[in-house]
Amino acid sequence: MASLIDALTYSALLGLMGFGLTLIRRTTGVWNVAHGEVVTVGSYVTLTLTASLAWNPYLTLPMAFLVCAALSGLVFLIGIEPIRARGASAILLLVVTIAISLVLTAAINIYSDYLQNVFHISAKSFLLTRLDFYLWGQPGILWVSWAALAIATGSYYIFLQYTRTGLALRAMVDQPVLATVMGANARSLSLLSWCLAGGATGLAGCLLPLRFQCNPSIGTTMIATMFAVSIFGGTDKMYGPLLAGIVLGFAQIYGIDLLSSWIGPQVIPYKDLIPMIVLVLTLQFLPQGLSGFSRQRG
Amino acid sequence: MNHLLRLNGLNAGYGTIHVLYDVSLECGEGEAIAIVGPNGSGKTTLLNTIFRLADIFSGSITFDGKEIGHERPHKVARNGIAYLRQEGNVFPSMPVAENLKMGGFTLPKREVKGRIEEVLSLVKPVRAFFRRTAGTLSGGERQMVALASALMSRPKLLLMDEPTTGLSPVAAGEIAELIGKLKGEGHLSMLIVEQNLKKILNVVDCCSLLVSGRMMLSGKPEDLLSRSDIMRTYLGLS
Repeated sequence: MASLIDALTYSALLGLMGFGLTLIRRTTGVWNVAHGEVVTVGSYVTLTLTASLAWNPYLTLPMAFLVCAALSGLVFLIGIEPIRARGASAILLLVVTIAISLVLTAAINIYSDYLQNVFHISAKSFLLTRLDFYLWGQPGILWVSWAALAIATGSYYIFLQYTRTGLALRAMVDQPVLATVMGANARSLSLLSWCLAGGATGLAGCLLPLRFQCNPSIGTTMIATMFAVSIFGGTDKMYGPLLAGIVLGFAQIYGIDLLSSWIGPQVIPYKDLIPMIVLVLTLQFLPQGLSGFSRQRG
Repeated sequence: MNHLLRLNGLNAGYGTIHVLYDVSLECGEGEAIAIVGPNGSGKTTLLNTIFRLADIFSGSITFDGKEIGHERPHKVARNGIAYLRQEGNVFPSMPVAENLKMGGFTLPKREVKGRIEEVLSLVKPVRAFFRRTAGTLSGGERQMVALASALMSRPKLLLMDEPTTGLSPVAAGEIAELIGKLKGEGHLSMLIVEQNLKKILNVVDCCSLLVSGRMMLSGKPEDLLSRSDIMRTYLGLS
């Protein structure tokens, strides 16, 4: 049962993280390696508010959304846009996001040291399960992670489908130059997509410590899995990463359970290899990912 | 005639690549000008430059009395210029209805629905595939949608990049007929890049020949057609 709850929670959170990564990739063509650190910042927002102000962890969700949306927007405005405006290639932008990721990791480490040394908060490794509630005998994180996924997906769907700015954002994804010559402000829309992506990822980061051990490099260690979710989901449809998050979350949790029962517990540290194997197989046999597969079938 | 668009001594290109050399051009209200020239002569770059999709090294672009050479592309669109590009001119994953809505992005929201009806009555064939996804349409149908989308914003000036290229003779004829209809209404100025001058001969008031990024000559289309040396050398027509 614990594995099932782990798998369900992890899947929902991976879906949120992959959704953000895919949104950025689709709207601005950037593979954002610093997306992992946005997850970590979301976790630290929750830790800070629960430990220092005794907030309920679920009440920190809006704050995590706002902080991570702002951080992601700043990364775009300061780190990406000036270089992109000068015609930087996708590879160069990827390298820039790696540099930003290193800077953010350092900043998060300094912040966690500060929390630990000044406020005596256990910030180098933390788990907040003790703060969770139980509903129908199951931990609250199970329900809230899926509710967050459903609400985020639903809100983003309504925004993208039924508002003018959403239409322009979808148009930007489809044909950026055409959207621009029709009067859409590419820079503002790109900034908006980075903020929305950061916000969704912040929600995942906020919920992560309620079930999984977190530390200053939690997002960094998960970035490869997020890339796998994004690529496996495909960039064609926004539901792709949500579906991929579920598949990969279950594959990772149950796959490692299965392997450790066959081979032994020594394989557990290698659990991140499962999404990497899926990533390689996807690139080999289904380069357009799950959404491309559904289009072929359709 | 009042000059709606005026290009003056324009030098432009992409990054360090210089494509246009000292290009000057004037387009009056309701006037249609064809830009002709061989492949690689800079015709598309000229249109891209007006929309700031290419870099301006020197010179000026004035539209409706206002200098627009320094404005970003979305601002250029808001001045009343629309651009029918040769490629990537529809949003393939969106239905035609949404393509038209996006075409009217610069209009006040309350006007969009009414404008769609006006455009559909002008570009009638689009009504038949209004609910279909643009990516599933044929080349001719896509071009119709692209033209309808470009008209949505009630532009004063329409830039068209080879609107009939790659289309079947029937589809090309339909597009040429539509362009003629727009010209007949007399409100819209047009700058049309076209390889085949004969297709749009009846539509345009003036032709300009662009060769290797330089404006070689301008004149009435029939004057240009009568110059067999130019037609043969630069346009491959006899």
